[in-house]
Amino acid sequence: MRRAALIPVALTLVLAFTLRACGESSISADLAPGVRASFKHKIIVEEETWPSTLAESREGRALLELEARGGFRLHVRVREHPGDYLICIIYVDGEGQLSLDRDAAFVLDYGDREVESIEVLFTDSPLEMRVFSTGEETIVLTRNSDEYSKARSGGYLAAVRFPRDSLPEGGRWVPDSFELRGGDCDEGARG
Amino acid sequence: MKALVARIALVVLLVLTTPAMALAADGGPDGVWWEWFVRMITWGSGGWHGF
Repeated sequence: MRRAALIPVALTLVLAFTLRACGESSISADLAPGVRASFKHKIIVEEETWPSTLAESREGRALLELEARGGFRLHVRVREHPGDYLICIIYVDGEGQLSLDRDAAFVLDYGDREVESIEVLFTDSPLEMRVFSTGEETIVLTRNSDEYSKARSGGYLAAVRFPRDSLPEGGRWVPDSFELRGGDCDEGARG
Repeated sequence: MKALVARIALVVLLVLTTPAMALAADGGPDGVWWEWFVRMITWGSGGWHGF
């Protein structure tokens, strides 16, 4: 019995470490009371947006059909504007408010250098029929900003654009820390 | 028979808790284990919106 019990325990540990190896790290920080940002994922543009690659899978082909119907615009924009992109989820709770204009930039700190974002992109829905850029208009996020799409976790989905090849390769993109410069965080602004 | 049921229950329990263990080791997305599940399940069809 004792020997039999060791098998699932060992299996579980192997699975756990395998999943950990496959996982992608992330980093979160509070921008202001009620406003939190979490960088989750570095977009692999060739795999996630290029038609030639997407056409190789059923899910990818569905996205290309969506693009043909006028959706998938965030993906298309990423594809057509070369750069390094990170998916960032911005959580706004309570009376918190975040205003992002063309002067707002996320700054990633890698110890010996900093990398500053160019623009922050939002979309209107998972179908991505519209894209909003802080380079073109001011984005104001409150808990109930219905204009902008939220991810499954409840935060606003943002694609943050950095200069091309400015971020470390692969999983090393996670910085030591990050901050928002130029954005306007306001607690209780709507209270 | 009881021993067999106990072994199956143990395996099921460990398999179910494995993602939480992996996430705890990883530091995970905000430490919310179910978000890891959602991300894993929705990545294919939901893409970035699955986070």
